Amino acid sequence: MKDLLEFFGLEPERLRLEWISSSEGQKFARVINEFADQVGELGASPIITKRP
Amino acid sequence: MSEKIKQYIVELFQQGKIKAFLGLKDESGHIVPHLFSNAEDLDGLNFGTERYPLNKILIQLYKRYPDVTIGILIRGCDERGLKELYKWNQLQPEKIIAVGIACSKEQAEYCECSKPYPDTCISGEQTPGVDNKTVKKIDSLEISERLNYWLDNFSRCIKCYGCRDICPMCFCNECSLEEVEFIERGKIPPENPIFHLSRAVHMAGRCIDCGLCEEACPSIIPLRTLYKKVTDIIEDHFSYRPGYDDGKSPLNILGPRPEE
Repeated sequence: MKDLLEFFGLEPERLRLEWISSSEGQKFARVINEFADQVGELGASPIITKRP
Repeated sequence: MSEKIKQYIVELFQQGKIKAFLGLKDESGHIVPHLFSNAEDLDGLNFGTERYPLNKILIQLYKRYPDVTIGILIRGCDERGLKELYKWNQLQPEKIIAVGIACSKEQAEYCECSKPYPDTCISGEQTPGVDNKTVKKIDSLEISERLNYWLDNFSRCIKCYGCRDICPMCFCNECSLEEVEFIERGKIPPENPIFHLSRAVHMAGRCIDCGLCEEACPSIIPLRTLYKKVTDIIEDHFSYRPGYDDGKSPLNILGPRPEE
């Protein structure tokens, strides 16, 4: 799916696939925070800004 | 269309090998799919470069008459469709006799077809497969150019479902593109780009590159290029090509993890 997004014109870093059990609360929090920072650095999705 | 083909099919009827033949007929100048029910009927058999999803019609026939052996006219792409549909249990090879024709060099180039002739080829000169240029062209664009390209193209979509309706590989009883919670009703263009990217993901390991989707699209969206890319991605990651004798699609396997 990352390859498809890249072909489509979105940075593949905007998609993250992670396997987290409902009992892994700490891991979930860490992954979400990391990902939020990562996507924040990429900036607003160009789809929101460019869509007619 | 050669007499050779007609003769071959007449013999299939005479030998009792088929009860009917699914081919193309000249109806007052229009070439349309037709189910020929006997050898005499075959006088109307005629076709040039016209393409129809005959596999799709065959699936409907099979559901209605699962015990009947039917002959079918196939091109290279149709054969890929048949091979893949066997793997997905939509058709049974014992009930089908394929009559193959090869596509001309011009047709192969128009389609950028990887194999413009079926294995069971009765008529036509076999020309080599053509390399994929349209995907490479998009790959060479800058990421933001690609985005504009696709958003623009998808914005012309009128949600006619032509691409899905004509696709020989689309046989889901419930199509996710019709899920109201997923794709809002009454909105044109449908959720951009979710609608088309979803369809693209569903075509992974399934699209046999017949190109009928792009031909059916009234908005001239380069769907084939998108699905060709998805097929390339699957080939890169799983060494799997739909429609060949590569075993089952990795997305068609349930159970323990397949061997690497």
